[in-house]
Amino acid sequence: MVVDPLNAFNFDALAQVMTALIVFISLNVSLFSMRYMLGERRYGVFFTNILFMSFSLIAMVSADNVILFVLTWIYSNCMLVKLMTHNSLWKAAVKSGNLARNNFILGSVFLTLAVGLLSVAAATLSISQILAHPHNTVVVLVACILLTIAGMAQSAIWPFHRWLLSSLNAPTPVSALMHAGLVNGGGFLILRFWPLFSQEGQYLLILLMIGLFTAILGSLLKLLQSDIKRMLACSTVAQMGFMFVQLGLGLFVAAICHLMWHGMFKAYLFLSSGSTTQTLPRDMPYNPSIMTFMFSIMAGLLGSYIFAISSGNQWIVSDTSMFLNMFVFIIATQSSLSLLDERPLKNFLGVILLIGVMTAVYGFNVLFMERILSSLNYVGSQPMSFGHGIIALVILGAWLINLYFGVLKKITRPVWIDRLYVAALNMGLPHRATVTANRNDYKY
Amino acid sequence: MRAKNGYALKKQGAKVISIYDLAECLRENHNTKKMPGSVLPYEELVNSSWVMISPFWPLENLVAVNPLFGLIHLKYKDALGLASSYFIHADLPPSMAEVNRHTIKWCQAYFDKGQATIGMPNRDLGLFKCWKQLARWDRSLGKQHDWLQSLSTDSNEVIIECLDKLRVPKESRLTFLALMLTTLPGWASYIKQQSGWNHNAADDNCSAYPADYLAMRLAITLLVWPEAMELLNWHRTKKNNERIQISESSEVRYRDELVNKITSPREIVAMKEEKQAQLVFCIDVRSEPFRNAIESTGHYETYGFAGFFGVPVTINDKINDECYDACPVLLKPAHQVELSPLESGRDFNKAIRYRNFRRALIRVYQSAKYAFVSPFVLAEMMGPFSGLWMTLRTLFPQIATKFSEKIKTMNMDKVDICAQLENISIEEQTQYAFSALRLMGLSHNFAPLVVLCGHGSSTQNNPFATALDCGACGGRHGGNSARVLTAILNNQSVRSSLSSKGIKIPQETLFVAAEHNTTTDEVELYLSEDNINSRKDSIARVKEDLERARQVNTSKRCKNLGGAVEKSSVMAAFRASDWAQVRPEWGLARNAGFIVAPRDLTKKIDLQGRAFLHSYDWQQDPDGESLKTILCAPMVVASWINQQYLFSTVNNVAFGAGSKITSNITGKMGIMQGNSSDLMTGLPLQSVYKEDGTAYHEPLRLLTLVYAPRQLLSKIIEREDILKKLFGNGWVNLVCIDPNESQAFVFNIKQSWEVVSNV
Repeated sequence: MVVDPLNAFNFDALAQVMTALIVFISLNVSLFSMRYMLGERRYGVFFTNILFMSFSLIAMVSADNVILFVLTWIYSNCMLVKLMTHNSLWKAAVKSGNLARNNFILGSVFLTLAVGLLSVAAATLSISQILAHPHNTVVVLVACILLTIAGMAQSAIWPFHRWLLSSLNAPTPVSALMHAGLVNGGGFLILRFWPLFSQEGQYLLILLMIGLFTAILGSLLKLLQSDIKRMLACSTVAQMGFMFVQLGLGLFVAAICHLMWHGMFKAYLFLSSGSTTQTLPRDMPYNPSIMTFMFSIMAGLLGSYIFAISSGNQWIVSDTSMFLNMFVFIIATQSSLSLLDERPLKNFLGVILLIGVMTAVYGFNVLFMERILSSLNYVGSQPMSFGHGIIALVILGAWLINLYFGVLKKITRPVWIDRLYVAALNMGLPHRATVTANRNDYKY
Repeated sequence: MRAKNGYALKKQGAKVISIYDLAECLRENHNTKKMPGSVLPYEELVNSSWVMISPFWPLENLVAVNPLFGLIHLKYKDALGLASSYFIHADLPPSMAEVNRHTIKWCQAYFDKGQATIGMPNRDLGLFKCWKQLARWDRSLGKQHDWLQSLSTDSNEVIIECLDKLRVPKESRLTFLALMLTTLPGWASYIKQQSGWNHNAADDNCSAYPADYLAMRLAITLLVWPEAMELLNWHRTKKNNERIQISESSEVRYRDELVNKITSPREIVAMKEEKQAQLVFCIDVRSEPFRNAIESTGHYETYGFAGFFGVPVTINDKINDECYDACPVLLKPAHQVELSPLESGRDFNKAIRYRNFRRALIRVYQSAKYAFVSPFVLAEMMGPFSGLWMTLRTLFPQIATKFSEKIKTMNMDKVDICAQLENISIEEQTQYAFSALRLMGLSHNFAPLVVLCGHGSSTQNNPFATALDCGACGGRHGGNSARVLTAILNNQSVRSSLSSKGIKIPQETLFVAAEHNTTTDEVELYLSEDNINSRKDSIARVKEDLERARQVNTSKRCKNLGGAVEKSSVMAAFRASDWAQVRPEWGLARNAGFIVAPRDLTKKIDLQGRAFLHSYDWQQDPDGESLKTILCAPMVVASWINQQYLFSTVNNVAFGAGSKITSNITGKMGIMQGNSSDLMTGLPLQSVYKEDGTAYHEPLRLLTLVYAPRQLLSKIIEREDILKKLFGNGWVNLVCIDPNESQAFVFNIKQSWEVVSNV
């Protein structure tokens, strides 16, 4: 089997969007680092590594040849580990790198098995031909499982989240690059092989549940963290879980949107993590009164309606895109709560205006991405099932429990809360070898 | 009285064991001589074990501290030896490292100041009780549940129980407790600050922290490493690896050069014309080059004085809605001063409305970000905007910063601010004014315009921002302190009381407050409309000259910071607004001297921004009262700054904060390295190092140079314990230029004067 270099690439809409993201983030982070890293012992090496990683990533997202795909996947991850261990004198940083490396090796093995299976089954090395090939369902299912495991390892989905929580010994710009970049690899992998996944409606439910569990776990851990960088890392775990939820719902456009916009958001938050002391103290709208809550729900419903219309969709639909409306409803209600908890009536008009603008902008954003990605011809949302209904309830429940936690605290025994707190605190810890327990072991 | 516990206080002769004697014990133990047979009562044992730990102020107001200031009763060299053996160790026993991991985890959670949305439960119980309640459920501590359950809630009792169970011999307990602290010194430092140096402690729990922390740490140790007694052996037998070195020859070189510069004859042209203005700056080393620059532009007289201008107040800033102590941490503020708009007119109300609106938006953002489910959509909503904003901040930082400043201060910058002095009586005001003017030697020949100039820095995305602000104002900007003294001195009734005390301020003299931005070298004059109208011309001229001085000074600083000299002021502004900048300015790096003398002595000399300049005229101070104050207050602060820079340079890992590139803010109050680590006290690498391997700061001990009669100086040192320690033990070097003999003398180890051989 000879590789024709011209056919080794398939620069489709997905590859185009991903390339734009890679270029944007790499340029931004590199420019930032030119000043930020000044005076570093290995200043030049740092930029060379970023450059190689970016090129390798672009090759990966646009690869059509499976060998090229796997090799660039492995090479990009190697470069990431190199960047993470930029400060190689510091033992804890090297340990963080090792942890990530082992995780990536595991992911790469599963990836290789998956594409190996698919290539043999379809007797081709071209990804687009593999996807076009009518496989038998067992092959598709096995491949999906293998790909999912590879993706979970890459995207720090539970139970593979530990390496990401332990990765903060890396320089700040590397964290920014990583959280906007390679951590999303799992989502990209599933998107790349989407035609296989979309054949397996039942399997998607499993993806959905894994994602949901990770999203809830990550959110809990995030709220518990007392240092900025680990808080951001836990938040990424949650966001990756959410990306899997979107994929599990069949909402692949939403997943791509999420991958991109979350990447930019998180890169920004990492780069600006030095400003944490200047941020205002938080004042959360917990335990809202019934009156405030009712008004907020009204604003939330309106928000989700505006979103549905502006994204070119309908408000009440019987497929899984209904979930998007629900997510918008939750954020719109949550936002309104913080504005309405003092004077619900007086502020209501202003809130409606704000929510309207917020949701409309977001809706247009989704519409725009849908247009860009329409050439992919992927199968999207799934019909609603009983399972989906349960999952919707779990999501709403998680949100409400957090909101009314204070009330819960009063009716349950605090010991139970103490135990949960300690368990979650321990769960959010980085791997012990990556903690600098002796100050003198730190090296710059 | 506590004989039944076996902790009776044994006195060595009549000498009551004090905190300082303890450190001597520590030192003797370090030399593996036999410990003096004293056994301390356990409260004192606990207190004494903290002697080696210096307080660490949280990031919101970083204060420079001598990391060894508990040891100043020791000779400098001995203190360095002791510090190396306690703080510098590459081979901590792995089990102790495990104890540290547990301690860090709990400290991070307990001392969080608002990062976590779900905070540690039961924090109102105090550190130890809160920990005990939760640690019961911590499976990673082993089978501890029942034991922790049965443990006393009195931390002192727990300390004894643990020490007994660990079988630490009585005579080694002090050393053992000290090691418990020095093996994780950063967190201990924060606890020391919270318990002993925090005037605004929110609750009573703080005072119990020292014992609470030790109890928690010992309990963890007992669970994780029951053989922790080994630590004593480890400490005694470990090879003394790295010793802290300082170069005495460089100190002598600096001293000789400085003395030479000051004593060598040079032409000082007396002012022919009338002075345009007098400007009073902070003693900060960054004022010196700027004073030179402004003096070079016209007929200006400058003075150096501690940047809080001698009024120990809490500033309650109604404009920016914050309240803080604006005085050195060694003092306790005596009054509260409210800053409010001059006339609460429409502008101010509009500004307040706008601010409330902005805060509401921030609240929306935060409530969506720190909840369940909503952050997922928030990330998608914010993504495009944060991408754009990130690009703008990276490519055009000045535009981005101007824009965000505009949003933050919308309408607020138009408001005239006034310091309300109701809480300070006229007598007290007069007293503050009198001693300030006397101390800085400005008690006659007032110019028509006197500018009191505080200072502050402006940097972006910099966790250590407040380390660049005014140390005399407790790590805050100094402009508001200038506002307070200005308001006092412009008050007619204060002036008439002053004139009865012998200081006559002419009717036409106007005091104006200002703030020097040390990053950009801009000086902002705080003028009300009345001021501007009455002194249009002279103020315009001062402003022009300040702008020229800025050009002069930035181009000089540019050589050390990099960048084109001809665009130096633009470069400085760029650094100040750049969120990727890790070296926005050099701060007080390279500081080495503290000069107490009239300005004439140092005029027209390039001191390279290395000296604190305190104005002082010995002829106006026959009894030495002013000199005593200068040496005991501002000089002590300067020596803390000096030692902080010195130790952060000689060992940035043990005494500094490490690189900014991998730092991680914890609890909004301190820095850790990477995933988690000890709390990193001291200055970051980038504040004292040009490159990873090349230091910018030269670690020299402070050289204090006083222009006053030797006998006067000797008398003051004799009387003041702190000066005896600082000068006598070599923490600060002292040179006296005696005006009567016009010769320089150095204060030597034998505590006598020795002529400096002129080079």
